[in-house]
Amino acid sequence: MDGLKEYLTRKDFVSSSEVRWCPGCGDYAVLNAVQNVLPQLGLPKEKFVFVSGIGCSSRFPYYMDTYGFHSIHGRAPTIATGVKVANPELSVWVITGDGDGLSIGGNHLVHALRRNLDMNIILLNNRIYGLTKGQYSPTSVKGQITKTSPYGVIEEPLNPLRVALASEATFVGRAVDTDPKHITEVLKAGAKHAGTCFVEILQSCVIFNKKAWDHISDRSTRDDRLLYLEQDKPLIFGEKRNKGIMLKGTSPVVVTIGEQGITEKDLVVHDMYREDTVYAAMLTEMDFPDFPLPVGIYRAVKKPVYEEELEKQIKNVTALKGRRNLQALLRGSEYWTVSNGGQDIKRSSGISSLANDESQVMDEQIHELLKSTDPLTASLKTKIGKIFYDYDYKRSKVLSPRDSVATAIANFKSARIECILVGDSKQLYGILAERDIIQNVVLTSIDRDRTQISAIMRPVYEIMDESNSIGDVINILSISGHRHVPIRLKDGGFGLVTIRQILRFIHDTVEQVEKQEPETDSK
Amino acid sequence: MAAARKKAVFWSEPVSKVDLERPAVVQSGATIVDAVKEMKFNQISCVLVVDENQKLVGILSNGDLMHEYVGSTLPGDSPVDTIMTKDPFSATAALTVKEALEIFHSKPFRHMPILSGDKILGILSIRGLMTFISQHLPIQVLNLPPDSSLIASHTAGE
Ligand SMILES: Cc1ncc(C[n+]2csc(CCOP(=O)(O)OP(=O)(O)O)c2C)c(N)n1
Ligand code: SF4
Ligand SMILES: [Mg+2]
Repeated sequence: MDGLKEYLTRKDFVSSSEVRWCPGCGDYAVLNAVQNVLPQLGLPKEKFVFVSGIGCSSRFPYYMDTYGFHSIHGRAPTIATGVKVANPELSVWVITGDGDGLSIGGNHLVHALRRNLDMNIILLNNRIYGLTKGQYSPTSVKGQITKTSPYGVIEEPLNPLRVALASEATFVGRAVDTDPKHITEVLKAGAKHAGTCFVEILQSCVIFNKKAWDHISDRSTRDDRLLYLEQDKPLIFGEKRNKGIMLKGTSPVVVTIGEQGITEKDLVVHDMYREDTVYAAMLTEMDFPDFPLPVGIYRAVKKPVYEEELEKQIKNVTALKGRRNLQALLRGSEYWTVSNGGQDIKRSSGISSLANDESQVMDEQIHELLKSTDPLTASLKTKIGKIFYDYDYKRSKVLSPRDSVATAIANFKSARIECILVGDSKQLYGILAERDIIQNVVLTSIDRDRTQISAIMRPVYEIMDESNSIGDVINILSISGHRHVPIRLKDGGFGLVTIRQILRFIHDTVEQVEKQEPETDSK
Repeated sequence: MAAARKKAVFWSEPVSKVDLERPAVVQSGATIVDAVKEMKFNQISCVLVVDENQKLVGILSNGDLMHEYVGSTLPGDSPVDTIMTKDPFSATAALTVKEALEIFHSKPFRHMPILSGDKILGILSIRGLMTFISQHLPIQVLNLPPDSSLIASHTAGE
């Protein structure tokens, strides 16, 4: 790795694609800065990925000689999330614009930021839609004349940094396209930050919004109008370095050092590591002409990183439930089979949903609505608890997910049952049918004594209550493709209702009806 | 009681109207492992065993496998014939739903081969029967959301 640092240079990241930005476009400065930063990160070239949306700025990946993805308008943060989660080793960079990231992709940006993946998002803010030739964007200022606001924008613009802070971004920075050295510094710090780094670059579109940043980026006035943030240093600015920011109450004010007895000591000291966002938010409120515009790192705090948390969670769940595979999911869980010209639709097993009181009330209400005079139909409203105790009711065997397959086999053999529930007295984790044992024991060479049931069980489709109706249970049995439904018993514990019990109930009901009304047995 | 009369119709319907399941089939002499593979492939819990004339000679269910094979000393390449149920109970497609229900009550199995002469038409399962019956009760049973918690409390506009 150390060797690589010396070996890779800016040139290694320059692609052979012809750059299609207008001469003078601020995007060039960012491209150069990024190509400067990457060789300093000590990663091999193949570890970098650039993901962008749509816009002039989003053409960025073409010009980087790295992996890249010129993706869907506004969706770069989402696609980058997938890239990073799938391969956390990669250094992932999102390039977006004020239109791409804050109009169509506003939602995606917000959620990527709050997840805090270890990736970098650069938003090139030119306060305009450049690619589509000059429509106003969410950062266009009030009064701005554009193709779509010929009489001036009347909307309040978004401040990208405030969006980022509100989205719990852990690294928030800003730089100006006319100061590439500073962009490089901010991006380098951002790339090293563990978590999402969000950097807004004030970028000029020389064609459609030429003067957007002139007031602060012009070399001759820059020192007076920009405030370069430096950790642990007082907020000082000005060509003569004699101006500063002081707090008056809770509000920042501009003061001159040396006047009215004000010294450096009276100034606010920059602290990007502050946990709360109050100070960073205050900085975002400062803007020319009342204040200098702060640039640099507003905030850099440590918070859990999404992909690491995800990996931990997967490890924990796998330890308990065993490893699942995609094929099993596709074949065994939540899938629908439509056959016989759409006549026959059946759903296979799925995720358990815990019974809740609300659904029970609703069930009762709907059954009220579906009042029928037909005795069989009426009988379907019978509570399942009844069928349970009337028809060969057996309390279900419940084994722990950590029990061995051998234990399950012993239970199947001695109890002559078709199905075992997996869980404890409070919670069900899965269901184990004869079939699951047979397929695993006969077709694979699993170690029965060492393999836990959790590795071969299937998810519970639905857990019902004693108070659910027979109709509900038939519904679940019909669509689940299972032969059993677990029932939560009133006294705690679980039982199983089988198709066999249901069929016997229907048989008996119809028989009774026929006895009472022999003429219905027409034909 | 027109409704009750209507319900009685499914009662006396022949099982030919019920969706039979496509059977898993192996030849007599096939190994137990092959039989299980066939069941898995067809996603069905039993396998039919036929002779060289494709005539049904036996049936093997997961239950049989659990009790006769798992934990026994039989090797997986033993022929299915050693543990299958010979000359299994079968019926013709003229069997009515009511009769089928009665058979399933009195016998322990969950699958019944339906034959036309020696030809295997399919497998009648207790699941197939239940689905068939529930299809006759669309409002009460079938046209409900896939999760009981999703059942609406009232119809739209109410
Ligand atoms: C789904 C969709 N909607 C709209 C467009 C049109 N479109 C292309 S780029 C763009 C805005 C880009 O603005 P910005 O992100 O600021 O990029 P810039 O060109 O300014 O760098 C729009 C609206 C599109 N390509 N796709
Ligand atoms: S239109 Fe504007 S943003 Fe787009 S390349 Fe040209 S100068 Fe850059
Ligand atoms: Mg733009």
